[in-house]
Amino acid sequence: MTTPTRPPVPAAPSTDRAPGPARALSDLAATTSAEWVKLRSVRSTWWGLATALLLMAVVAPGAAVSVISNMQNGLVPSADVPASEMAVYATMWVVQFAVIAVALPAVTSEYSSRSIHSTLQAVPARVRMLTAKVLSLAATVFVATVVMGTVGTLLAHLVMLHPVFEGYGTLHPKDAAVDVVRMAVYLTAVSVLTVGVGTALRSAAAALTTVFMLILGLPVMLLLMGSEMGVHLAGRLPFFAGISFVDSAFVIGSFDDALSPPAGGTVLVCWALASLAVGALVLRRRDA
Amino acid sequence: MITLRGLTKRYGETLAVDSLDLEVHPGRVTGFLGPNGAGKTTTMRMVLGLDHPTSGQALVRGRPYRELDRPLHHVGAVLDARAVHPGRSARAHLLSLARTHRIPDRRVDEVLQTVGLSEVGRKRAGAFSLGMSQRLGIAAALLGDPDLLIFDEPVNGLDPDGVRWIRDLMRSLAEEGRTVFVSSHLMSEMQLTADHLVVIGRGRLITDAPLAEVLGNSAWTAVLVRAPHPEDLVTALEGEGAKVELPGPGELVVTGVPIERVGELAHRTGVALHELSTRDASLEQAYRELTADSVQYTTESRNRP
Repeated sequence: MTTPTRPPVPAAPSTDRAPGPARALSDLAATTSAEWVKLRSVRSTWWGLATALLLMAVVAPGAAVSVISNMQNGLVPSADVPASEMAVYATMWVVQFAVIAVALPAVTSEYSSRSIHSTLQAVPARVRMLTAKVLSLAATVFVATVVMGTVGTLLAHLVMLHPVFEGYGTLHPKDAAVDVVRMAVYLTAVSVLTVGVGTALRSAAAALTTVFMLILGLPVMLLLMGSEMGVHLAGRLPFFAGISFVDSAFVIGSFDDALSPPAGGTVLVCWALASLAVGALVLRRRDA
Repeated sequence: MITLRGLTKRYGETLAVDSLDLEVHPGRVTGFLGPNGAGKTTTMRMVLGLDHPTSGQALVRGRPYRELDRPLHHVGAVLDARAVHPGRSARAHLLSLARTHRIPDRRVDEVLQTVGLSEVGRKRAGAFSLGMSQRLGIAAALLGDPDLLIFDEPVNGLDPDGVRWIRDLMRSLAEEGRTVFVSSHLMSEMQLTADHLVVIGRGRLITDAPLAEVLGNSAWTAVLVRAPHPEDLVTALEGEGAKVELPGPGELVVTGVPIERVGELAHRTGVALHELSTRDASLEQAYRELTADSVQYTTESRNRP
């Protein structure tokens, strides 16, 4: 048993700092740094990112093989196959779900472990806490997915250099860089959307179901129903808005009523911000 | 340090906290007592800004918690020691809290040492025993060197060494001039730790008084007398306004007069005494008397409409 003697401590500041934008910014920076400590100190973050990378490394070259085989067999018209668009394909169909698994626990685990209590004791300004969480997560996801997109592009390119698939693959560094950044932006937007839903619903199961329905279930259902209005609406949901934004015909082919890439990006960002706004509203209003 | 003004929390039809007015002062340990469901935790959560009051105010240093600048330097609290991400190490947990206030990393190691967790600082908090979790919670509370400390049932589930450690810690924090506000349902523990008691029942304030006063007011503070022929003494005592009970032949339980007066009256009336002693109330009994009407979950309460 240790005795409760306390080592000398730094004296607590006796005076309050003057409120204002400088203090708010300084507090936001400090809180973001705290949220980064939280994000990096749990294994689930690293497992999730590793899984996303693995899926990218398997699916991007796999997609290249599949697309080129179909062209060789005459199932689809032959065309150039940019390596980076194979990484885009992997992003939209597979990698994003691993990224959701990284983003979701950043907020839902606070509620399941009740560590939200100590979080809000340290940062009672709830919207600041949420903003800091989003900033640290978005930065992490963006950097990690730029790496993933690059890896996927290079692996797809390598596969397409094989004599069996020769003559289809292309790799234009500038186009590839744009594709990689767009992928990263899409995945970052999806992670922000996930945090918003998680903050609003608190339960991991409820939030995961909601995000999955919103991203995949709902738009696919609307598209399959085929009504004009349904297809129009589906094009404005996050997934198809994202497909328009990443601007690759390989993901799902072209569909009627698709948005232009800039419009798709704008709609996507609006979804992320709207979800965040709902999360912030619930966070402020509800008891922790 | 803590000011409650008409603090009220309503969940649907249930009044969890009912217009509570209270001031908790520095330099002493204030025990916060009440039966289960009395509203202790809800009150503490409102003080910490986690729950919103339905009406009234909970103020720390005269302000709502949310308006405090760098709150960890003013308030340290342990509401639920287990409320830590099980996959995060103790050190990372404290580090994340420290970063919000730009508290240097070495302070994290300092508080880990203070609570005796230096050796296991890098272990996952999910693997901690309840006692270790309590220590981690206290480390987090001490991180910002606050002058107000709030503990919700801190000795729950601890072994005797842990209980003594927490008791000594709370006493030393109060002696340093800090405000210590601690809830418990363990009366014996409060009797050893608290200087001042706040008792609530069904969300209402029952008592707000120094420990000695709560004990002194109890019907259980009494003078015990054994005498073979006490009749004259009983008459004399009742003449002085004392309340006398006769639990058995030749036995008196006297309340309302000090023991010295009982001795003088026995001498004057010439009654031979076989025993003259005081029976001190324990907090347990005082508490039972105070909360008898407000215990929410008794067997009888099921019959209430």
